Amino acid sequence: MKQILVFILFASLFCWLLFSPIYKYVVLTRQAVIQQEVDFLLEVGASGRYGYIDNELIGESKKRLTSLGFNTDKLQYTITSSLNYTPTLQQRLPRGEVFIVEISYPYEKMFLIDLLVGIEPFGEHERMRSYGVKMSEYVDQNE
Amino acid sequence: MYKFIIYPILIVLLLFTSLDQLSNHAALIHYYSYKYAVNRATHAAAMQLDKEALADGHIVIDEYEAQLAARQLLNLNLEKDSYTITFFEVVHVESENVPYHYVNKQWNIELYLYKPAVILVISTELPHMIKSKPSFLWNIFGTSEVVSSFK
Repeated sequence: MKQILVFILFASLFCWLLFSPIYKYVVLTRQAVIQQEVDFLLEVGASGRYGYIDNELIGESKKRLTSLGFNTDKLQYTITSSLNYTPTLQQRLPRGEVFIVEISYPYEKMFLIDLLVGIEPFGEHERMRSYGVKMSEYVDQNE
Repeated sequence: MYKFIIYPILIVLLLFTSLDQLSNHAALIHYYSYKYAVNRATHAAAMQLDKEALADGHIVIDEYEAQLAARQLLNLNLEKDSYTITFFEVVHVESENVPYHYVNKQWNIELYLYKPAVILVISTELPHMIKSKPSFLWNIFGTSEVVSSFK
């Protein structure tokens, strides 16, 4: 009887201890993965051959993230530049200006388990963000 | 009764080990975000060519503009005041003595350069999630050669 009582007393705490670190790792890893995606988009987009990041590149990026378990509909890409427009194939970003890329993704229910020990979790719609800025290398050969 | 002693000890132990691992993992991610920022800063700095020298056919990095660009890119990529620039150098490599052997004993840097380059070291600190543990300290090094399609 006493043992069952002790177990019930500690049950939620044990659950939290065992499973919450795993959720934290998932959050950290997701953050790292979208950061990597930002780095990759910048590396390609800012290179001399491209000078833009358009929907085709974003589509490829979404495909890569889907294979790692992300939900494409919830991914949000924000691509701007120091010239305040989104560079496209028709309007590439010239050398010396910077690309600004941000990818965000909701935390979803990753922190819900913290309720077990009385910590108020993040809202479901709070988003993790990854951000990067790189200078464009593109030079228009016709100029 | 002994369970009331063993359980709390176990809980504290579990908590500290998982917090320690989490902190190490977060530190690794943190480090790489800074490393990428340094790479982008040197990349931008190496694109600041001296236009007058370029008109004469020489590829020379404008040191003042390079430093401005590096600072700008670091500011854009990282939080303000979370780092300090500890070393910045523009290396002028003449095309006659390529590959140029660059050695810096102070920062333990050894490079073979083929084009003019920018070298940057920033230092940054990240506190450990467990307060009693020492915080993570890094000197992060990055370099870029001039970005150009011509030789």
